[in-house]
Amino acid sequence: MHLLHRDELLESLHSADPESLFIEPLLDESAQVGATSIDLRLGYDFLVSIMTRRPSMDLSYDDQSYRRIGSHFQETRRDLGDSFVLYPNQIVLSTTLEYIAVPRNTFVDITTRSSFNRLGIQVANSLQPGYRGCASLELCNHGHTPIELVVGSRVVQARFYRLPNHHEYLRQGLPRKYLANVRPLVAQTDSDAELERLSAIRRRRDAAGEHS
Amino acid sequence: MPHLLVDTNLRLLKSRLEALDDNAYFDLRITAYVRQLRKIIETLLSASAPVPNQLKHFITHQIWRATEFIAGSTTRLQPYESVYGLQCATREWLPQEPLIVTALIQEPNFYFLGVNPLFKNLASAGLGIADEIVQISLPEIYRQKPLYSIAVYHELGHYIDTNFSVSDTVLALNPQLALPGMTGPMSPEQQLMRRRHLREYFADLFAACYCGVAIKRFLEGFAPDATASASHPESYQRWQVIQALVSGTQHFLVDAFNQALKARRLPPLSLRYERVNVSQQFKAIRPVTLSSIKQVYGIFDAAWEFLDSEADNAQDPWNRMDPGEIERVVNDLVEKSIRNWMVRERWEHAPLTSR
Repeated sequence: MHLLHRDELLESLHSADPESLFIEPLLDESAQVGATSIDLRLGYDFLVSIMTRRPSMDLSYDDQSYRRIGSHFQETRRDLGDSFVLYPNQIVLSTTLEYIAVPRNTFVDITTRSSFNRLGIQVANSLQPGYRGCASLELCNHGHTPIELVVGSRVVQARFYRLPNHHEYLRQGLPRKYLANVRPLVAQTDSDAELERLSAIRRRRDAAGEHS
Repeated sequence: MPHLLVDTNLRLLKSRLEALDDNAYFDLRITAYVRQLRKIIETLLSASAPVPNQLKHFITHQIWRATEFIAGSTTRLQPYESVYGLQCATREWLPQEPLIVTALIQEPNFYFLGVNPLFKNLASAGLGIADEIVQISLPEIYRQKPLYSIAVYHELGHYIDTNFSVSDTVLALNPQLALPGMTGPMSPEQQLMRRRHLREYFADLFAACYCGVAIKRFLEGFAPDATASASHPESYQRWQVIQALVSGTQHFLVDAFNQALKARRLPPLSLRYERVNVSQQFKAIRPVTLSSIKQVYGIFDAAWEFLDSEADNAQDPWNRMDPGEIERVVNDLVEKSIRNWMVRERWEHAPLTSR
């Protein structure tokens, strides 16, 4: 893997090839494209975790009274320049302001910028080769003090690694859960087919009266 | 006690408006409007001289309807990108940008609800409400579907028509005007039907000025093959009029409306959009970079064409998505293209001052 540097990033961004790196809107290229990374901005849509009458988020999907993960979040929007208060230990889902198209031979690592790390916010995400969409930002304030974030501010940085081979993000018969999303989405674990298999294993074991 | 219920309604509405005042709106003028409505209620409830019950009922009804639309316009609910286009479109027609509020409804219907002229006069002259309010409803399930929300341009057309009496001016200038499918002497009912049909034709043409054939594509799916009714003309006739405007072919209805618009000193019906080439970017599942408000309008027509072609004959990589996914991604790419334009416009026109 080769970490792309500024000249390579700019060359790919300016290329007319539809397979090249695409980031839009890139509002301040000279400030955002660094030596080995590109700063990305906080988007305007948020899903804020809320307390509900359910004691937990159920990922087993066995329960008759199962409620969607989305029911544990509330949607809200802000405008460019507005503030968004991130309370201690509250999970908030957002996205980058930028829509990103990743080349098929590139892998992306997204981490919080140093200034935001120092405030107690840590974001870690990655984008697969060929990814399309705004990058998901799973925000959590690990400090004790609420933080007023500003929509449109540079909160994360992305590093781009070139791979030796091309990889298809969209493969026939293998639907992608987060394709071309432009707003935050809650975890789509209910579309993981393997969870259904795991539940079936447990149901059969319970029916047979086996106990671990 | 007939006044008991109306007073109760006013108090309940006051409470609802107070709750709405706690919400955030992208347009701060809506917050000011909410406060003005609250003030009207407070004035009515505390008036030293009794207010006639009929007047109270009338004002209550008007405030109730406005509350419904204001409730659907919070930052959490408003179809922001669609309303943005409408707001820009009003600049050419009105001296002052109105407040556009949207009610999200649970029925397959779009409609424009005019503010009663008497209430408008009361509100502006007697109570100091300066802002004009445009109330448009759309199905909530289309909230994040800009391609399926373009009928809001048709509804804005109704507002322009109502506000400037465009259709009535057409009839005043052409008393014998015969609409498609209507021939011979007309009964009063048929005259009313002609007036209503005329209004629909104007709203269609207004929408086509901004969205081109896209409005026809949407309506064909939304209300396919509708026959003429008391309120709406036959679909086929509507498509013919839209097509004439878009293709630049002469049509007596377009001419009649333009004659009326000229008499009212309003701009003519003409295409306000610039065709956008979405194909290359959308094929690579990327939003389009728009460079003018004309392109913001133009994306609807181009995106509808792209959606239709990919739904019928999807090319790689779109052929790896199911039809529902194709529709969702195209709508999201349209929304993101418009939003990116809005973000860039604000960024580049930020009123920077040195600290």
